[in-house]
Amino acid sequence: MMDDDPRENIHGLRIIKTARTEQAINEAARAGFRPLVKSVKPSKDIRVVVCVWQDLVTGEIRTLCEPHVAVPPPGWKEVVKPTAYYPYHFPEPFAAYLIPPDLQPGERVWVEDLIEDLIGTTWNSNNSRLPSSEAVWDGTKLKIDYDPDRDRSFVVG
Amino acid sequence: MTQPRFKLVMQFNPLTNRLFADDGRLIKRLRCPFRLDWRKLGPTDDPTARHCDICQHTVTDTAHRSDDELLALMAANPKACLKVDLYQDNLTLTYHDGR
Repeated sequence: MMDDDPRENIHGLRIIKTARTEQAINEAARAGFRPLVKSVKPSKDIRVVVCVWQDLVTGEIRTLCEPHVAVPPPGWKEVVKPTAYYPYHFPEPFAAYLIPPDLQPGERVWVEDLIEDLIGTTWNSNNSRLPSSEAVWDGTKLKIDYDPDRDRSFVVG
Repeated sequence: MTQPRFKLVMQFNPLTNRLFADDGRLIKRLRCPFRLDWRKLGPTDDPTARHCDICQHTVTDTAHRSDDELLALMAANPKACLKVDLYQDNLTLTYHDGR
């Protein structure tokens, strides 16, 4: 989709990229970045609930992301009851923030692709990941700016 | 036997923050680096929109617009900002981008 943002900085903040494969991490290291390698740990708090209805005539299915608000209309049957699952897929159980060699302690940056599982949006007992965030580099790690008490039921952008 | 058609409304994928029209066309991917709180944004002449003091953009509430209106808005101003409430009536959720 042609909606990816090609900017190099977000309102004056440098963008920290994330590499999610061994090849990408090593290419970045050879290019002069310092990979800050972290484990990818799916959080049990990140989950969405779906159920599946099936058309009794055609066999086609429909996935319901809000199973609590509807019952199957005539001609349809619930074939998978509301089921919670972790909806994200990552290629490896590790990833790395690519730290520019000239990044200074105290510098605020924009982390484009968070490795950590933090709750971004919440609705009806579902939680999605926070994709990006500001952070501060302290010389050895990125301290992610995250407010767990913020209202997460709406999205602006 | 004629099978019922499901009502077509705007779709929002909270996993990717992409907003789609009822026919599957992408309206916008919502990304705000400031993680704005809609409730704290300033008023505008349009009661369905608010003002962001940080980037000086008008943020339009999608709860009060049709998908055709939003597509036209984005075509006229690709940097326009939108607000989506996951509980708003004119929206359903999807975990897949596109139909």
